[in-house]
Amino acid sequence: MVIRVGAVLHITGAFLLVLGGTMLFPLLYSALHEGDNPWPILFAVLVTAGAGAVMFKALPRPTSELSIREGVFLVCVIWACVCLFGGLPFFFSPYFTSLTDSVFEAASGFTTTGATILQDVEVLPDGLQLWRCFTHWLGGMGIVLLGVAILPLLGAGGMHMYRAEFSGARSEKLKPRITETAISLWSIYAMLTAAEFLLLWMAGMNKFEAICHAFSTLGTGGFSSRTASVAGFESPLIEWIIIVFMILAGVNFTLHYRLWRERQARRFFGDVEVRAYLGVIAAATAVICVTLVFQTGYDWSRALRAAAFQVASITTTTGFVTADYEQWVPLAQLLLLILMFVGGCTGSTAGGMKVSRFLLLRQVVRRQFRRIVEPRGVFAIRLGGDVVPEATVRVLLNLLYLAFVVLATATLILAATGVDVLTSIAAVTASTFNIGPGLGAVGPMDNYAHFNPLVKWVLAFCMVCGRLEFFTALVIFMPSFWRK
Amino acid sequence: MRILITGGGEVASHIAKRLIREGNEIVIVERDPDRCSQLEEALDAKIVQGSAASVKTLQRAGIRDAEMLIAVTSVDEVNILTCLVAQAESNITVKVARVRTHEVEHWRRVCKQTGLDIDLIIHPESLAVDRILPVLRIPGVSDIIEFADGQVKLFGMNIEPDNWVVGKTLIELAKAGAPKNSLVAMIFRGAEVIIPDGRERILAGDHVYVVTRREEFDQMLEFVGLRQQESLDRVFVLGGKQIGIQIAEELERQGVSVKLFERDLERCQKIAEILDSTIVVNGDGTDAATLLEENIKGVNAYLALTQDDEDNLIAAILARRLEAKKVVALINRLNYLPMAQRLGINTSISPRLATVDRILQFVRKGQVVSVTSFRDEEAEAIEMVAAPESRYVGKKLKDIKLPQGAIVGAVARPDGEVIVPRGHSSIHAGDRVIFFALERVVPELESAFLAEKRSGLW
Repeated sequence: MVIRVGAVLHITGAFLLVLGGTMLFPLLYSALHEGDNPWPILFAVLVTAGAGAVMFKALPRPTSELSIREGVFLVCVIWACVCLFGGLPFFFSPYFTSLTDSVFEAASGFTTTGATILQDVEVLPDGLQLWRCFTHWLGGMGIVLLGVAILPLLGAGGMHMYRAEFSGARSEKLKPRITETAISLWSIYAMLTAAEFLLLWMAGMNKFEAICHAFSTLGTGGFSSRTASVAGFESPLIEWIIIVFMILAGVNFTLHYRLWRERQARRFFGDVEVRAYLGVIAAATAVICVTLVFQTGYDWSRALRAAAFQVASITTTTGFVTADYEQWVPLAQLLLLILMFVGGCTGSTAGGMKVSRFLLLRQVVRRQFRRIVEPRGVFAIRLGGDVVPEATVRVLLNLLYLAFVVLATATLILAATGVDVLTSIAAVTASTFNIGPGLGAVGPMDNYAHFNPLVKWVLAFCMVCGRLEFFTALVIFMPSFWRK
Repeated sequence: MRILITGGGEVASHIAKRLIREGNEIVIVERDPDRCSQLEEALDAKIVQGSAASVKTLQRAGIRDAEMLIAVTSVDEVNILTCLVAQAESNITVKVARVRTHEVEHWRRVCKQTGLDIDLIIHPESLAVDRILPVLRIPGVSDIIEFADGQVKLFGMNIEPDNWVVGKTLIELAKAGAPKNSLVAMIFRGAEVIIPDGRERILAGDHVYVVTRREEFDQMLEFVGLRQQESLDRVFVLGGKQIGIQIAEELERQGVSVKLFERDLERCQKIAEILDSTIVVNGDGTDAATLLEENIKGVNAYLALTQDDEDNLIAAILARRLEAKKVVALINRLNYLPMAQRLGINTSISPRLATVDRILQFVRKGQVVSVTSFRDEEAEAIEMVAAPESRYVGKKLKDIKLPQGAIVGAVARPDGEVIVPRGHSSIHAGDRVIFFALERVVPELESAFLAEKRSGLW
């Protein structure tokens, strides 16, 4: 079973054409606004679509469906290309000085991390601002899933790719056909985005900023059109709207779809993962709120809002900021750091390890305890009444190990280049779990500009690695992956 | 169309694969979790793990929204039960069930009487028997398939090295006096499938399919050096399962003397009660000594019909060596089929492939009259009726752009005229057209043939 690189690149070409197409949106916006400079985006469209067209035309179309291996490889190639070509609008503009910075910004965008190398976001013209936030939106639901929805060339291979990109072991197929599943997910995603846009607009944002923030929120990205992030608006109403939509974006989209189609709130709120997820957010908010009132000196309403915003932002791995949480007490800061690992629900646009994995892990540990007490007992692992197959448990343990290895290696590389301990840990965690702001030198009021190029590449790799949940991105480095 | 398939075996996965390619939405219910994940990897379909006999599982699989049910689990009762659930719980308009019991006729009646409306009850064993019987009299022929109510016949043959056609191109064969209305439609060579043109050369070891008019069938057989056996005297049947018994019954009726080999003594006694003139031999029909003792040499046909594919293959090869004039092997696993021909087995019969064909033909019904798959579904023969609005109607064949890997094998006109067409022949509305095509171009071919003529600018 050999990987047909030509066939993979042929399909990648098609995806690049799609990517070039998505750039038309900021290009159009930029061209229609006086004073904006559309040329960087136009160049990027031409290069991306040109490269895509050449790959698509020059390489032969695969005669049979893609194998699982080819599907995985294709997802990796697509993500690499998307980060590279998606960075071109930045690269061609005067605001980004190197290819490293452009690729970092694009990787951060498509993986919905939201870490930026820009000192000052507001100098960017609207077209580029829009592209930054749009990359969040595209990457949130998944660029591959978008391709599956609109490109008819994948067949059953599309399923392998959907699995390789879409988060979580628990996401079931909504429709028998993968194409229609992808379309359903994208449409509910678009509807939620439109809803947030309207609410933000009515709450006083201008249309442009409303759409940027809607894109960023639903993708759980974190790029804002303001350097001070959401804090820049100084509007409690806007903050509350964004809190609600961040939480919604962290929920499994198949549940959103079910809720929309069947209108049974009971099934939505009856889902074990959603309950745990909401519980975690409520508990962490409560604790932080109390510390803010009694130790930092906020008044109650500000404390609740700030705590809820930051907890939602970190748990869902969005990374918007309304307060400099580095001024908060250590307990609150550490709590936020822990929430970075938890992340949102499976099948959402959020990053992190995902709530259901922790629920499952708890069950595994519980079973181990019971086994010690009752050595001959046979225990099934259940999650919300459903029995979880042993294979899923094994995959989970492997994933934990991989996450640990990636985090440890990347942190060591950062430390080796002279970055301090807290910043190393926080930057790697915030990148791998696609959050954005961390602690230390990458805190809520800082950015990633000061790192050297090697660190930026390592972090960009961490972002993609975390977005594809480790296995997909790492398996291509196995020698046996390339053997027959 | 949303189609629910219960049972995730080989038949199900093959049907699903084809139906998905033709644009249908497929949901499969399968009990075994491992098989479920296999199917999930292989098919762009929704796989639901659970029992097809469970109403809850069927609801979970969306039986309410499905338009068609294909019940092909390994258990007859479950298949019928699923149809019952479908009738009660949903608006499914078409129900297909596979039933393997020999009491299938009774079940057809019972279902009708109780008002359980199953549109197609498939009995794979009968389908297999129907495919075996016609080829017994012609040893060199692997299979005979009829189209257009028998007006057109297709037969397959292995090209032995000593056959005079070896090394000839198709044009040379035509010049050598092949019947006018005949055509070499498909050549299976090693792992390759060729839809040939006139320059293609026939090689030793090829498995060739020839299409011809009914009237020219005998002439064509003679032309390629095949002889019919005047009469069937002796036939050996290996394996006393349903299909063996059924075929023995049929042969008895034709006055053939049949010997049936079965290893299990109890089973032998039972068979002896069912069958009349057939001699039931309690012994190992794959053992050379036993076969020689029973005088296999010169037997008209040896049919290896046990449940075990490997046994059948080996037994058939052995029988061939012991000079049975014709050997037939029952092969269930589809991926063994390409091999069988190369091992020198005259005919390999697959009830599963027959089932897949029957179901596909039923699903596509309307303008598609019949569908036959060859080997491991690598090629297909499709008989379709040309509708007046088809894009192919009224055009000369040479002006029609057929997909690469497809040819028109024969055309049967409504007035009874049958031609194997040349480039200047044309297709009229109402003709039955028999295409031969590689499996991967079938959807393209069908949509082109069945599509209406585009109007206006296009």
